Amino acid sequence: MVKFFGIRHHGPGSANSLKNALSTWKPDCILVEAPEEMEQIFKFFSFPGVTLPIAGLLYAKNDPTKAAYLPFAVFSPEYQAIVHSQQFQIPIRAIDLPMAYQFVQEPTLPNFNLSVSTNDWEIDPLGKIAELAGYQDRERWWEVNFEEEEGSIAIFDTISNLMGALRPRDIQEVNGLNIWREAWMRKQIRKAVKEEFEKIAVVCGAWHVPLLQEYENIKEKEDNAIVKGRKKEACAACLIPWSYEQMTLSQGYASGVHAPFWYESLYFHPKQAVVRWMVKAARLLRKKNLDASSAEVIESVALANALAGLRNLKIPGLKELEDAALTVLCQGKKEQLNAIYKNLLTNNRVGKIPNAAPQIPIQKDFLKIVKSLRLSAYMENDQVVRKELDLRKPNQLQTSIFFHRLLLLEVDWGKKLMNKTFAQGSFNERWSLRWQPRIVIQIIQAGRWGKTIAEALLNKVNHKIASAKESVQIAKMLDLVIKADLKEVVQPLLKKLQQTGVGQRDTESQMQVLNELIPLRRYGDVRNVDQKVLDWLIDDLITRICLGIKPFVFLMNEEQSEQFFSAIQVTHHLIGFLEHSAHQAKWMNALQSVLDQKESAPKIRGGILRILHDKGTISQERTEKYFVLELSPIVELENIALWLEGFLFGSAGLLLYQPTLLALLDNWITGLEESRFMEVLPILRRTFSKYSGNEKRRLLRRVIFQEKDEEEEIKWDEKRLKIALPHIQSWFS
Amino acid sequence: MKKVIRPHAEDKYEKELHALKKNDQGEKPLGWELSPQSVVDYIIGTELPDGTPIEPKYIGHRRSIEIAVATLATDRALLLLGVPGTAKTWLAENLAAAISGHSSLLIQGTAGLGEEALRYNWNYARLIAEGPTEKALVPSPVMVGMQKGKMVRVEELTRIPSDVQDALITILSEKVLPIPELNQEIAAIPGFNIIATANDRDRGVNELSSALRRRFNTLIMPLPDKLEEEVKIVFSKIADNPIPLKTAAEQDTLREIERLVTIFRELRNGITEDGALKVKTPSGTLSAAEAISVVNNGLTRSHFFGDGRLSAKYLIDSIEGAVVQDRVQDQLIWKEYLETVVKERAEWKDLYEAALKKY
Repeated sequence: MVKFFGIRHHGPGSANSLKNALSTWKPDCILVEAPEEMEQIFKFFSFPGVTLPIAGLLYAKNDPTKAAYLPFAVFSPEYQAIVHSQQFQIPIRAIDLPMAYQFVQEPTLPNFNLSVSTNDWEIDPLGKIAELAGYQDRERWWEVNFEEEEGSIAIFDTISNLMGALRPRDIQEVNGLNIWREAWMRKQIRKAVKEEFEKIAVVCGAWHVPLLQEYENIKEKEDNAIVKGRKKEACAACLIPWSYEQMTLSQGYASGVHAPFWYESLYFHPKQAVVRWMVKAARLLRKKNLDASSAEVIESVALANALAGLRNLKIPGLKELEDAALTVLCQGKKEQLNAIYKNLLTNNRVGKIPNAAPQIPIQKDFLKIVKSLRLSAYMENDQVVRKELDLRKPNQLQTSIFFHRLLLLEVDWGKKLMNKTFAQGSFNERWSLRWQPRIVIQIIQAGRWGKTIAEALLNKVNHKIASAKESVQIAKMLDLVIKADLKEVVQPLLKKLQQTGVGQRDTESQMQVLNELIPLRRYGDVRNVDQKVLDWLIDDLITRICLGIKPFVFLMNEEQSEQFFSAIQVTHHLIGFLEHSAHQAKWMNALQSVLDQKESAPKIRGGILRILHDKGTISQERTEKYFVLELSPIVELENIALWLEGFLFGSAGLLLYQPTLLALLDNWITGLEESRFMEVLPILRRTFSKYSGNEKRRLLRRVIFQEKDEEEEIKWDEKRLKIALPHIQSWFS
Repeated sequence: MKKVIRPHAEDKYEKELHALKKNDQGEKPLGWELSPQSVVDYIIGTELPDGTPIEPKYIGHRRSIEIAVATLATDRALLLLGVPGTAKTWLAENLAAAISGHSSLLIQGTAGLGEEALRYNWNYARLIAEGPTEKALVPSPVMVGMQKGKMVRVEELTRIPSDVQDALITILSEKVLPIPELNQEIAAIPGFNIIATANDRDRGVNELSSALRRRFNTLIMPLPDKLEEEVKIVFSKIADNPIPLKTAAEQDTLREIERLVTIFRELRNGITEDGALKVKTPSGTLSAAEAISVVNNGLTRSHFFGDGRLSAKYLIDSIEGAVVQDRVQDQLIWKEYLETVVKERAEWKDLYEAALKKY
């Protein structure tokens, strides 16, 4: 006897009903709608240490970029079928068309379920019926209509009848992939029947039921004709951890998985789900230091119930809950609800697969490294975590190397954060880590390059080097490669950089390359960098930049000049590091030439004057002259403000210790008409906002209470000074 | 019925309410005249099974109205919060009319309001002559609402001094109003609840205490989402104007309203409707309610002093009056808008010229 169990994918009500129906009916064989290759990994579903959600990943052996995944949560009926089969030790088979065929058909299939159809009726017919019945939360419809008859398998007969009425049985009407898949599934059903199982349970999407039921009426020959002679591609399967967030992202099939955590509650506590949801919302609000009392939870539930009544629903759905939580708990403030929304929908849940489950070699290597670096704890949930590394400690240096290697492999677990200071010699690195299921997929995809992380890395980087064309790209890679401790490819990269011709692009790109290269010098021989080639490249770049900078800044707009000015600052800083007087002099001359280029962007002119002034290249008097000149009344107000922004960048020390400049600036600002002042205010504000609070306070005191400034001068206590002075002098001699 | 300038909602829509009551199938909460579904229908508008049309009273999200009605069915009070001109008062009045059949139990919040206005007052002549007796008691609208199980409206809640506001706490949480002078208390009967309105533009007038705030469910009233929605609101409301609209001119009027609403929205949102240009935002609210009064003003002037049609000539003054609240700043913004936006639109030439004549 064959019995059909039409289900809603990821429907908690469906899952509960199926679980009960299977234990009542006691089948001796279960056939489930999943690509055939999945069958081999079913046995790992109940492995100790498996935490849901998980996904079956199917990928083409020769090209892992062709991949499809099938997520399973505790509320997925398919998962319940698998668990049942294992509990009662009965055979379970995956009867859907093997992915091996589908990969040939559609090489870039992001999600297995997408292939089904875009037709709502086919994807989620029961959901569609619920929607017609006025339920926006499709799951609640199931509950209201079917949950009453607990444990009864009659539900599934009703569903079969319903679908029979909705779906034409004529095989000609079926479109594309479905005709093929259903023919395949019918073949598998016939096969199971022939094997003389007595009670065969077929668990499949409700939509398929009517045509699978036809397995006796449609001739085997017909089905064979559909299936025969198609190509396939070798396909492998493995189990990977998944997350609720990921489930909400999957498109096309997302109908039911908008709120996985809500569905989980519905599965475990169908009767208390509303209250639990509201309590969870209140607790999350409290964690954010927002008020949410138990009394308000009670009121929220009451409102949700009232809303359900008003909308002619027997019980509240997700929409009613959200409306009630927004109105009562969040006092109508949408921002508050948004702050907890993601957590409320997903509980930040991430699945886990024990290492004993089958993995491809590179995955094993990855986990081995993770374990040896003690990073396993970061794989527990999908929160963003900051990690500081002290590169002087061997273990942390290894961690840094590992993360850099992942970056090169395009596995985006860690993001490197900029160090706030320019201190390139810093021993610290800051990383932001976020574990996500897609990382496992990326690792598996990296597997095409090699069996271990190191091997894959080498192959991939060599491939990248061969195809790289831009010098900036190569320079950036050089830095990564050195930090990832890939000594073998440093030389080839430098060669490549030399060949690409550093001078082929504009000054700004040259500066970017230079800014990447100078810090590399300090790695020296330890990291196997050829100093000669590096020095040659740096010499060459500096010469080109110094020649090209003057025409380059000609007529730059505000945005470009903003960006270019920060590049100048970095380059200036780095050239200082080189301690090479010829370079230094060349650079200073180049900057000076920009200063006198009247058409260059005001912000850059201002900034360069400041750099030259700080360096002592330009005298105090000349600086003041420039200052007066640039602030002339005929100059456009906005240009003045931009010039000032450039000149006053960094710290307020300049203004604090050079009263003439401060007075000039003060005179200019106080001399502005009110309306003109308002015009430049935003830029001035932007300029001064970069100063520290203390600096701003001191500036304010200088400007407003000029007389008090004098009092600030330290009054020495002559007597005590006499005692202390000899000692202090002795320290410095 | 005696002709009044502005009839109460329950009088104006008497027929509709009657028809709704007759057709009502839903379950009524205790003390309610209509079931919650019918209240929502009354506000949103529909056609009843017997063919009676129910005119929409509020054009906007059904969801907001459902939350409002559901709130009143639980024992929490309703607070409608929003910038001026978002139909808070109008919605409150119609909710009270539909639920209790009465919208006249009203307290207008002012800075000078005393606690007795929320609780009860005395007829002092009687009080002196007879001492504290029930007869000497003058009940407040809140007290009447509690006794009769009706909806009570409190307008501009945040204008009431904070210590006076707090008199509502016991009433809302215990549903009891003690009268210590008579050693009595008034216990509210089902059907009583409070609908309050407050605007969040004049923030900080008298901030609600969090104890009181917790007794209210807050519904934030939005400005209309879409241009068509807002035009519909303005058009449907000018029907209330005692000056009859010449039917032939209806098409013109609609066009003018559309222009007016476009101007208001663009200035309010700081961007043109096609999203191509940024404009500066003046200090006025420029809500749908203000658009309605601008149109009514224009129509009235045209009716008495012109040809009865709504045209740029009669609108421009009122538009400017609404936009320019601050003589200096807003005047500049308005002129800039005229030059950069109005002037560029070929079909708005009449409007631009009408505006220009003034300068």
